[in-house]
Amino acid sequence: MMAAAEGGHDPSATPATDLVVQVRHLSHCYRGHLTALVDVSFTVRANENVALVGPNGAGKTTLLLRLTGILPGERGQITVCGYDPADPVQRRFLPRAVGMVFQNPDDQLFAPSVLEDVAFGPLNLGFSPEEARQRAVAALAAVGFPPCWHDRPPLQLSGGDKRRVALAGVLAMQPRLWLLDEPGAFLDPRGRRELIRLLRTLPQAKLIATHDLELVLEVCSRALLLDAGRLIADGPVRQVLADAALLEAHGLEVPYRLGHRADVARVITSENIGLLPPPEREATTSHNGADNRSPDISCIDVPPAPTVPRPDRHHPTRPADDRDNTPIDVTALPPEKQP
Amino acid sequence: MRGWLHAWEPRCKVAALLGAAGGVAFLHHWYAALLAFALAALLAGVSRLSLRFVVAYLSILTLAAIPFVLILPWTLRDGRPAWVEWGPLTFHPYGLETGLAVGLRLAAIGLLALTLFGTTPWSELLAALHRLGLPAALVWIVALARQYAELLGREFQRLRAALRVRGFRPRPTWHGYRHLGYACGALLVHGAERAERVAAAMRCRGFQGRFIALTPPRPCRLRDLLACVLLWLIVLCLALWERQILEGG
Repeated sequence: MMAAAEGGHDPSATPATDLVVQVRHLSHCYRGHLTALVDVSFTVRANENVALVGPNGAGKTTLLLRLTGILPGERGQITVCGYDPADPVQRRFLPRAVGMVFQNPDDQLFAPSVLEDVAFGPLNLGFSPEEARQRAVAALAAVGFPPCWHDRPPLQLSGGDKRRVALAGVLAMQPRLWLLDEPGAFLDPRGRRELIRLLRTLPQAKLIATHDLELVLEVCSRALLLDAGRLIADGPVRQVLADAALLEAHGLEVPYRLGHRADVARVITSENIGLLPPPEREATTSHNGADNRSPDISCIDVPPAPTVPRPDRHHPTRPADDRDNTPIDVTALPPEKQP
Repeated sequence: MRGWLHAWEPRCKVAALLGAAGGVAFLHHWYAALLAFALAALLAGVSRLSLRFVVAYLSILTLAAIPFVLILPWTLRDGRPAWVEWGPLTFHPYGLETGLAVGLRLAAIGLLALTLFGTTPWSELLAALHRLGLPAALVWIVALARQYAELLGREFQRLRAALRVRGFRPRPTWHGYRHLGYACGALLVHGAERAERVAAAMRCRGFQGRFIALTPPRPCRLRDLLACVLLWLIVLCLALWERQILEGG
């Protein structure tokens, strides 16, 4: 079993000014003693995109709400952009630094028109109506919302357009940290592509709670795996999400892009081509018996998963998971083994 | 199509129409209520509101007035003889006049309100209420009440559809009443949860109870004020006419 670690990055190695989120030993219980978070600790650096993945009821939304100060609690220490959300005085300044996009855009949109909804945040931050209007127009343009619809009631928009407006509402506030709760929900594939493109262009730090692991692969560099309120793993996104056993143990699946390639690689290497790797049990440890998993993943209370570096078909010396996104020629496979 | 009522400065319009509605509420006689209704209908006509919009909302108000018109003639009486006598039931003209007065007052106030809402953008209306001195908390209650009414309406449609696709038909049986009760309960719970989430989202965007309008206030011109005063005077004259001519005579 790997040693427990506090986040994938050692907080002591990062200057305090570079950290936008510091969470230490955070726990949360709802009334009725339903435990939502248990001793969660991690940090997020400025300009870092971090995914928060986990099954339903893992505590992802609770964690985001604790970070915004919306959900009060006492156990644990949180610092977000230098503010303590538990302190009522400091919490008043949090909206200047933190923007949250809620899971359901209907919860976020309430103004009579799209433009007024997007300008709501800047007005509350103290901008003049003219400045707020300019910010709102710019934010709506950034998310690709047509200007001719600025006066429409937000509730009459489609799900994708509502999501755009919700994003624009936060974008207009220009926060240093984005908290996004299931940002891909309600979006069709095109809307999802546009969302990914937008998120990749935003330079600010982002903490994205989602089940959409493909989106995570596209946007995030680091993943936190939560389950039953506990932080299970923290590491580079491609390594956490390629760990099939780890994900399966916590109600997730390897994303199609990673899993598909691993399956294909397994089919090719283990049975058909003759580039037979050692059996999986042996592959998980190196010759000297050390754990072969990436040292960048920190796991807590989870047995090591059999992350097998499988040879690439075209470059047998290179592990399959490290390959780029070049398509695999499935026609070269035997018919009965095609995925 | 925009009429001159659309161009009326929102604060003056709110003050004029709400003041007129308040004055109409104090009318007693059905003649005066009929004249007030005619005045409100004239304003609604001048404002070029959609007939469908007016009829849709006015019919709801009319439904609310029907019980008064139906019940009061059988229960209120004065010195005049009854028009119809069916054993213990007697139909009196005084009750009918009172019921008509209630219905016409309701319709007149409804038409004035429709004229106000139909000719003023919602955000301008809220800003006008705030600039007239309504506290921010009350302005937000008005703003969100409208929003939640729409949301709850949609939620109710979803619940109804969910009930119907599972074969539920509202019938006057215990099964029907029980499940309608469940649906209403679910609607209230969903509404409360949504209200909490909306409030959380507002606080995340820096909301601290203030009401800040995005649209700058329109200048209040002399003719806006004069129109406001004129409407008040008309309603005042109507009330005085009712008191002095009808009651005094």
